[in-house]
Amino acid sequence: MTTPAIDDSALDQIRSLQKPGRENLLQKIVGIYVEQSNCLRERIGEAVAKADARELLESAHSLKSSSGNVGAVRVSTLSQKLEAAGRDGQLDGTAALFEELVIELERAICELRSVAGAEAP
Amino acid sequence: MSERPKMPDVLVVDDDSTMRTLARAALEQIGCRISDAADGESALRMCREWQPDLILLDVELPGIDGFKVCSTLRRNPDFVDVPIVMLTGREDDRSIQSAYDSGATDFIAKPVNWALLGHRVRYVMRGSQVSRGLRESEQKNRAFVQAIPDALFVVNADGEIVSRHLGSEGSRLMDDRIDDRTDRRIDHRLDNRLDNRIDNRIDNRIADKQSIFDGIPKSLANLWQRQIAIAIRTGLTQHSEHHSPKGKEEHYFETRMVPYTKQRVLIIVRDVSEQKRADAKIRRLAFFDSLTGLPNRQSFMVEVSRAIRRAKAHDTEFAVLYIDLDNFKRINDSLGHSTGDALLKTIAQRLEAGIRRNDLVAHSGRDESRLNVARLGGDEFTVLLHDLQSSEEAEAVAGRLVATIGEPMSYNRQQFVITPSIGIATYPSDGQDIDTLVKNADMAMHGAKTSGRNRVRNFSGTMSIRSLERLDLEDSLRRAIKSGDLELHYQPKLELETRRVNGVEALVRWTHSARGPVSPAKFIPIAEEAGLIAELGEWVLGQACDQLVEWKRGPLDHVRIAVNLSATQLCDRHMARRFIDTLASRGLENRRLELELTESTLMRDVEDTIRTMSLLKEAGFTIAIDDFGTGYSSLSYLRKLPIDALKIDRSFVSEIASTSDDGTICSAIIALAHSLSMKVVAEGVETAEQLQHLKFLDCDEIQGFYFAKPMPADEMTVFLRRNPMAVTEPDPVAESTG
Repeated sequence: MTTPAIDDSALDQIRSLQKPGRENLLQKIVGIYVEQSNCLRERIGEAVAKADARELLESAHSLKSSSGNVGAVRVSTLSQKLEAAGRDGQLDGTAALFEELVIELERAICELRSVAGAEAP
Repeated sequence: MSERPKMPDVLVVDDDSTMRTLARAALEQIGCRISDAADGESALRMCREWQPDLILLDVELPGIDGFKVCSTLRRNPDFVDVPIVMLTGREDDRSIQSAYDSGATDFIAKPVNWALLGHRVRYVMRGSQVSRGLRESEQKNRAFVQAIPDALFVVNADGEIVSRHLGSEGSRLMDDRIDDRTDRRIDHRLDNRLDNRIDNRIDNRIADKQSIFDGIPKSLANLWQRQIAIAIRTGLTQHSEHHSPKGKEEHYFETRMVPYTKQRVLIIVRDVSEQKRADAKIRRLAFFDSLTGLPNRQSFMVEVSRAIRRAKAHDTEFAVLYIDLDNFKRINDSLGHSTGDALLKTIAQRLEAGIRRNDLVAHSGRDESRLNVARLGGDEFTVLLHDLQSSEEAEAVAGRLVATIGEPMSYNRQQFVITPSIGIATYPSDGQDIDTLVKNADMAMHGAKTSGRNRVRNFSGTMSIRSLERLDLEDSLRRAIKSGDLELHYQPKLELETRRVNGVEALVRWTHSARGPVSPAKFIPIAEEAGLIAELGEWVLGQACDQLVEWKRGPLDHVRIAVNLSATQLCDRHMARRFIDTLASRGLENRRLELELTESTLMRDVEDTIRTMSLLKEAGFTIAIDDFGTGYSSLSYLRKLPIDALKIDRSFVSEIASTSDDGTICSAIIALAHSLSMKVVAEGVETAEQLQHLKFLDCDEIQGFYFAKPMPADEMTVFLRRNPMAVTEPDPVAESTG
């Protein structure tokens, strides 16, 4: 059984911040997240490939933080592991973690897009 | 709605744009205005430009991290109070600790619960407003404290200083209080601490304590120690006063100890030196005589009442010495008050010095002085002698004061001799209340005046009767001068070489209608004290002139009459003129009148005296010095004065035959007079022996009972008529040598 890529309560929090008559906040956040996470995924991939611990720490930290905000729990957890690896300079196994992260990020983005698409414009 | 408090302007600092977007949405929802920054540097720039009310600050930022941003802002006075909430990892203890250390107000762990963020910010804002209010009120308090000139200390029960503030005056306290040697260092350290104390918390981190007792005298430390304990135990404010034991200027401090918090006491030390000095000045004005610096009448009265209480309590006796200077009024009248004041000051100094000496003699090794001196006003002084051992003791002290005061003194190159009369009244025998004691001492002083001045008199019960008698005499004398109850008697002077009588001395006699004859020794001082002496002098002059006129008609126109001149007459500028006129109006030659002055009269105001005497001398009057040898004549003045004769005082003559000293003195006076071309007259010659001695010493004239008593005018006329016989008949010199 697969766990859902997105924690609904995070999305509910975002929805609760929606001001009437304004641009849809959830859609906006999802948009930012998709763009940001694509960029961060590339940086993380490169850092893992080049075994650049510091770059890995910073990029994984950023992805962890924004993933938390959109309820992308799995992505967040994997980012945290990569961040810790980068901080400790223990890069063994980061390639496997990164592969897993790519898959989980795809799932999360897919799910977020469908949620955002279902939102009222 | 509009009543809701204004929501803060918030700066959101995060490099993650989802964070910024969500924070903005969350905080806008509660009415905040939002700005955001993606890194530390732009955050600091925005702070300067925008002055947010609250900062939401991510820890991990590109470039300058959140902790640095936070601590940088905290160093800026504008951001000391602005709440900074840091966003940290959920279980990142280290970050949370660092956030506090860098000055963060609060932290929020990620992931953020956006729904609650608004509430969180409200709480933080409210908390910061409360603490800002506290801080402002504390700043006000501190400003208030800074403005207080007093030194403030908070100490614990052991007297250790927990905090302190040195007021503007307080630094002086510390300078004096802490010996230079003991610790500038401590002062320095404490002052630094004060500077750093922008943050209250630093106060509680004082490491090594300084004790309030350090550097103060042990007795004061003991007192303060007790007072701190009492203040803590009872909650009551304690007071004490002390003065700095050394330093250029005496400093007085007033200390209050106020219970502060539990086991803490606030000590307020105020420099009250100025106040003390003002008090002292007022006291000086109220209780001290401004001319001499001696206690005045006011404080004398206080001292007497204190002495009475003390004597009552301890069953002891004390004496009041009432001192009045003889004829001092004349100095002020003739030489002006500045001279009078200068002499009074000198006398005051002598009194004080004399009293210190007396005090040592009378009672060495006592803490408290047994003697108090005061100036009652004018030329009146008092001395209190406590714990009297015997009545003789007061007399001895007074006697020494008479000697001290009576020593010659010079002012403006003039010499003066001022003598005192002192009256003594003793508690309890001469009075048991202030008024009676002072009145009786005063009366005794007048007794001393009446019996010749320059002496000491004890009050006795009869004194008051005698005083009434004196008033009565004064009154009678005044009438006698007018009505002619007075009479002139004459005593001849014998010229030893020629055995002729060339002159007589006129002596006043008074026969009181009720009392009979009154001795001149008694009424002359009364006349002087009562201001009758000038009148009396005029009367004597008139009588003597009338007598000269009478003798001139007979074959006695070679006889001169000598009259005594008082100091009052000599001070009168018109006196010479009046004398000349009086004689001229009767057709008398001035050389027929001889003027006798006592030594002490001469020494009162030498310059004026010389002027008057020169006038008289030029007019042809003969001038003689009476009672020579008893005063303090200076030889240089003797030479300056136009003197024809010296009359050796009877006291030297009476002992001339029995003590070699008096013989030597007589011999010296005679030699001195002759070297200055003066004649010498010996007074009070009563025996043949005395006469022989004087003859041997080459004395010029003699006067005394041995040769002839004073006699009324008609008797004198008879005596003079048969003068050649009178000389040969009773002249024992002729008998013994012949």
